Amino acid sequence: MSTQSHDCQSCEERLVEFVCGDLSPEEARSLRTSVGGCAECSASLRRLEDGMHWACEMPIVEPPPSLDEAILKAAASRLPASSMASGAAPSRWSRLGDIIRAALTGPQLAMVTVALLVVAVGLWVVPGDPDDYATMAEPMLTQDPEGAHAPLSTPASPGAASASLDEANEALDAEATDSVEEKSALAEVDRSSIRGLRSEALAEAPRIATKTAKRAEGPPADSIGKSAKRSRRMAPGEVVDPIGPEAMPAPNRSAPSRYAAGGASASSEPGVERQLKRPLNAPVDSMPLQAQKQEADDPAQALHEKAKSFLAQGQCARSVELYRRLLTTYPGYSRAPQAIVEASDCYRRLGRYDEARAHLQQAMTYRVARRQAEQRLQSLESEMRSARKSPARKPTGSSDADTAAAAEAQ
Amino acid sequence: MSPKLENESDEDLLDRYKDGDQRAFEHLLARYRTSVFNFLLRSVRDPAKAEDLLQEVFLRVIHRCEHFERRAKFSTWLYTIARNLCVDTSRKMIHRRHRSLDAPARSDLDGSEPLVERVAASTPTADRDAIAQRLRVEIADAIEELPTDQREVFLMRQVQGLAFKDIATIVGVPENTIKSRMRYALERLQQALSDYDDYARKLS
Repeated sequence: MSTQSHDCQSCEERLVEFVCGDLSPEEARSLRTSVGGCAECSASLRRLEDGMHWACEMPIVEPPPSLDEAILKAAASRLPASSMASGAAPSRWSRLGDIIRAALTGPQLAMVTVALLVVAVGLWVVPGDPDDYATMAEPMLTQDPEGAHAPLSTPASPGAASASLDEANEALDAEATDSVEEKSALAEVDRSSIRGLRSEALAEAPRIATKTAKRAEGPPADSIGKSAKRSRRMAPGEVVDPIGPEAMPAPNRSAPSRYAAGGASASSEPGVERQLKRPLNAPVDSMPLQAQKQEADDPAQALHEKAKSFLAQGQCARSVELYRRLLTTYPGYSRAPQAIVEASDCYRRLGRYDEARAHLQQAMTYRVARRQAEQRLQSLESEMRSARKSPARKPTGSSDADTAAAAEAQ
Repeated sequence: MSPKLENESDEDLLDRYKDGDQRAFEHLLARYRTSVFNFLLRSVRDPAKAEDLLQEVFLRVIHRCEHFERRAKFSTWLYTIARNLCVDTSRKMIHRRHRSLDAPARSDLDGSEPLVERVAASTPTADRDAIAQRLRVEIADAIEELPTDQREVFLMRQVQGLAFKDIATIVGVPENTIKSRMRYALERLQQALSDYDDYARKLS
């Protein structure tokens, strides 16, 4: 191929930079000298120079001036009237104001608001006036395992002092379904009212459900519904309006406690099952309510999201495993074509080009993914050609851990 | 144009516009309208569509300028918008060949003779102009025939002069891949237009 002093592979990589004018004069001179002694590289350089000559002859078309009018009109309509009239450069104070405005309306404000609400509710939960038991909120037992039974052992109000601990526990058992409904409602509120917050913020927010200190025999049916409706409109951590004494459900002494060991849940909903199987004093599930509900509703979608998340982080080996599991476990998944294309991207990044190509060819059989797969196949084939010429090159887009994991897997 | 604004960077101009200076946006538009239009035109291969997309690109710049935080260059951001629009459009459109905007009607030329055979020792000026025009059409066609991934890299480099590093950011692939695509694009152009080498030399 070439003399020992001339490396065609590395030279070829620099030829494009050379013809595009990205090299310094010294580098260009050195490259020319190096190429001059190699027939193959000289031929490559001639081809590239000819191509660049044609590229420079590309006709440049001017857009019609009428387009500018519409664009400038839209640009002007965005501005406030005063600045349009003056046309003067804004002052630094107005810039500072813009920065503050942007900060106040950004997602940071929502996070700060949630944090303040949490603190406020936490402070409010602390017992204050012992006489005001009607409006006092008590923390949910699952939040505070150690102190879970403390409120119960303390008479909540003079009227409830006569209620025994056992009766109170059974009342809580019967309320389990209601509290799960409230959690679902709160999860809905989470999704609709707080967008863009990180899941960590939601997971850390204590899930506080409130109940009044006064125990009652049973609520009227409409009041429970109203309570659930009210909770839908409220942000997490916000206190539910106190329910009157008639709002408490009657304890179901005949039914076995769902918290008994090995107790089965009557509900078929997986999300509810998980809630009921957890003992009263068990720590709170670390998974956010929203993620729990999503996983309950669509496991395929949840798996897909996990795979995408690993892919976005560059952990392609893990991502590949998840995609494989997704596509084999849920072959009828509605977004399988998209998942196949994403899986091919993982393989490409791991340098497993054959598998990447196979996935893209499979994706092309789906009408919805055909065009995307075709485009990616073209770029994959280009990359494969480059990789064959320089086999020492590491697979692109993968971390060292991924490369090692991929090697082990193979 | 104000000489002061002419020396401002793109990012500073956008900041000025965000603060209410309409003239700053006019400068930005003047800087990029032609190059972005050519990128769009050669990508979607439909002049009417390219005009619509040009408007859409700058409308998005106007509406999203508050979100531009100078973490990347303005040109990178702008071409990311343009590229995304091209990708969306390409998916919707049924690809069909369109004559380039600068292409003369075939009836204007004597089409009985292939272009390469018209290279004569001396030709009248008017004829030379027509042939030069036709050559430009061939070049535009050859560019539009490039594979999508190569064409977008080629156009961003040739039309706007973006650095390979910036193109890599826009397209989302490594820089070496971008350079490879550029190389393949140039080689394809050379291959497609090699018949006109002699002609181009005679014209020059």
